[in-house]
Amino acid sequence: MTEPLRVALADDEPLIRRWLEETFRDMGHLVVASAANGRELVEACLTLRPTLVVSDIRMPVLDGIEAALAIARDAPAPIILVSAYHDEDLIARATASQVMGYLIKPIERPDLETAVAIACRRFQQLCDAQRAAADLARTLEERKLIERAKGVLMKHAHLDEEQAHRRMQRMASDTNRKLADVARLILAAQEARDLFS
Amino acid sequence: MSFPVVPSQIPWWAVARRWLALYLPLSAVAIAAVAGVVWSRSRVEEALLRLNERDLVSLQSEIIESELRVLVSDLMVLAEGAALRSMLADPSPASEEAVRAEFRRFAQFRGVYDQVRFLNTQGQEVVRVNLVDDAAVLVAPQDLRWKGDRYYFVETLRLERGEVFVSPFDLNVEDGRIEQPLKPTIRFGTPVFDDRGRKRGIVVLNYLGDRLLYKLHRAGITAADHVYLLNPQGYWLKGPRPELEWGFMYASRRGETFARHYPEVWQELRKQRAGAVDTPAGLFTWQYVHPLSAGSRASASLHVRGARGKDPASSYYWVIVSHVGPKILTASRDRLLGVLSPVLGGILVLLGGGTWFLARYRMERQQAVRGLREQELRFRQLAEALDEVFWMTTADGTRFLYVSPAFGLLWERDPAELIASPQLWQEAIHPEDRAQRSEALRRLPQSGGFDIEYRLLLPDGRQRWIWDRGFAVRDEQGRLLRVAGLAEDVTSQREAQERRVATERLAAIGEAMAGLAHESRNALQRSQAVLEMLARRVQGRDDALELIAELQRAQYYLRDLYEQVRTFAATPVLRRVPANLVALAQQTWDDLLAARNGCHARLLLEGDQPVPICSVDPHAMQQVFRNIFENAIEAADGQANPCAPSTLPAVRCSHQSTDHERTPHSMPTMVVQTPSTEAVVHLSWTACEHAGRPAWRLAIRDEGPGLSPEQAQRIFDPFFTTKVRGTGLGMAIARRLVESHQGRISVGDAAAGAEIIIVLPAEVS
Repeated sequence: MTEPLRVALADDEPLIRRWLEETFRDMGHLVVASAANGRELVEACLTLRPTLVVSDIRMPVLDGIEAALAIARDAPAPIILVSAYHDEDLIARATASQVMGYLIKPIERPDLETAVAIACRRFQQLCDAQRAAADLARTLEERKLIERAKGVLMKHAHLDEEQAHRRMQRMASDTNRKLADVARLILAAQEARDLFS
Repeated sequence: MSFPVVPSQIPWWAVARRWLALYLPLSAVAIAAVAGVVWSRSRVEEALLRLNERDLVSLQSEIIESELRVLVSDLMVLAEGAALRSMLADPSPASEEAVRAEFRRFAQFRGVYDQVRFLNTQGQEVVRVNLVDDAAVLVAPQDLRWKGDRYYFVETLRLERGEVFVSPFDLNVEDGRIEQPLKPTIRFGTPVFDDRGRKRGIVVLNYLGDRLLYKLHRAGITAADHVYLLNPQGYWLKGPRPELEWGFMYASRRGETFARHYPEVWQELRKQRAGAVDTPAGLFTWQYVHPLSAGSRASASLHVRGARGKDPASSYYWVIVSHVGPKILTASRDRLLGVLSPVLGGILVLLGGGTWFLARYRMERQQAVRGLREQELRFRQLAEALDEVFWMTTADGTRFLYVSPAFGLLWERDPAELIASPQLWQEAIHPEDRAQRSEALRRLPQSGGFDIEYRLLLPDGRQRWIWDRGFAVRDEQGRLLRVAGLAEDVTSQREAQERRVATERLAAIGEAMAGLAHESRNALQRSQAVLEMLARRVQGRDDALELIAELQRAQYYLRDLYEQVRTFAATPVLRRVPANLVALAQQTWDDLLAARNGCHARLLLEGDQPVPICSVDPHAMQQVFRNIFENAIEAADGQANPCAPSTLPAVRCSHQSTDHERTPHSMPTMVVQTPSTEAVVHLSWTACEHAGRPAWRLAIRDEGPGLSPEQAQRIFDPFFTTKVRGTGLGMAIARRLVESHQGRISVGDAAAGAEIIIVLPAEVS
């Protein structure tokens, strides 16, 4: 185990909570929260930012799937659901949320170990993928801005594309700005000019 | 039990045919009877007629003979008379006068002689009395004639004493002419001798033939048309018509003889003196009359001589012929027919009408009988076609009137036996149920029917459930006539019902089990949690850890059992994809062997056709294969112990598959002994048809001891197991899953080992 996880647990049964606490501790992780229902779990997650969430599904007040949805939205972490039930409905709802594992009771320690390892890895992969996607989106956005700004320059300064691009690069390096920021400035100036004219 | 008989109109020609069959013989009999009567009657009448005619002619001949006899006597009396004698002895006017007076008296009294004469030897009439208008009249001496040339004078004068001349019967001729009106005459003559014996003349009597003919006529008024009198030449002296008579007297009538008119009769007549002959012209009966022999009989001394005849007795004769015409002959028959024909007609008409009605009646009866028979037949066919026992008893139920053949099948006794001994019915009922039926029968008059079920105790001890319904059959007044009923074998329904109840109970149990299995997961989770926590707490204490491991195994077993129950009870949800069944089986086999670490077993694939591709849920089919393989391997276990008796549950669920060796890390692992013998399981496949569609047939066979018939029958029943361990659900689940694939699973009939056959619809490419 490379790095201890900060684990938030939820089960309405104290005995199960206790077993989970003990088992995670024994596995070398840190149990930061042990909740008796979904709401407690969500609240704990918002404040404590755990790196792993293990939750029962059927619980009072707020069930595990609803809690998972809230956590995924507000305090993302790998979530493993543990339930005695696996009817179609539950599975459908669980897959709609961002759960990383679904274990059917009864489970034993090896089940947990496997599921935790897989969930963490999957979550990591998910996070990486999400980050990559965001980077790509931003890059694309910036390219669009640059192209538009280039267009503005070409039109008003009567430059060709090559010259416009080079002028924007020079301006970026002169003002120590990103090319995209320069593009934004140009576009803002253009908008202001349109406004006054 | 009334069946509508289709009323069919009897066609008239059918009645007519039947009627003819009746009427023709009967009418023939009637006609024959009448004909017989007529025939016999006419025979009798004819015979009578013949007799009558014979008697008649005989009588007539006698009349003639007796008449002539008297004539001859008369002649002799006159010839030998005292007056004549004295006149001859003493011829004087006085004596002549005495003779005249005597002759006149004689002629007057007798009244049958036209002339009474005495002629002298010269032929001169001496005395002559004529009968005029029944009065004797003396002829005056000047009117007396000379008759010396007449044949009768010549013939008579030649005679000796005592001899009589009789002339032929002819017509009187006066003065050379036939006297008119016709005067048929017979002349009798005899010579007269005086006392000295000299011949002095003759006495001649002209007999009036009319009288004779009249007498003949009188006597002849019978059936006969005519009575004829013929002379030997065949001329009619008395004929059918006056113009035919006396033919020999007239030159113009020379040929008018009887012989000419009736030649064949004449032929016969010539042969015999008396006789009868039938001819188309009628019946002729005849008899000869010999007037001369008749005369000779009258007096022995007399010698009658016929005219010009040498042998007067035979040549002088007449023939009396009675002629009964054909009309008269058939008259009696015709009369009878005339009377009987209307009678016969009436009889025939009555007979016709009667037989028509009879024929109709009989046809109707026949039809009715046929209808009844048909109805009876239909009823029988119905009753006999029924699987139910149709029965009918007397009102008190003590005697069976009818029981359909199905009784034999249900009661396994002969229906005839039941008719003979009605208690058989009751005796066959299970003792516990007997009272039910007798009670129902007892209450029937009030209840009007019963509807009961009871058990039959068959001779071989088997039981059969009978649903018996009885109905009161009443007459119009509501009196109980009979009891009819239906008894039906409802054993299978009963069993089905029992099975259904069992199935429903099982379903309920299954549902409960599913719920139980589900709910048990939380409990199992708690138990598992406690076990792990406990194991941590007794770290280093091996005895305690061993106990915990024992508990853990029990926990596993429970978990798997619950999972199986849940799988069995849950409705399978199939995600079907085309899959290679052999590959699926092989994969399952490999997984299974991996799970059963070190188990020496081999799966032999035996099929070289294209691999079976079916649209199946791979998980479900893997489960099916796994369950079968488990059993196959364990069957081999019993044989050669190829796999150590597993302390672990035999059947596992795939998607919940857990490694049995994966116990809590600190627990001791089981040491599994691996034997050297190898279990072999055969998997073969062939293409086949199932439910009219192409399908694949997979056979999985082990080399174990095989299945007993009971096992083979129950192997797919839930909770049926031959193993010490195991839930008894493996094969039941396999069947459920295969059947939910529209397939079929069954026990094969391999010679050795247990064989399971799976048939699945083939994937149609």
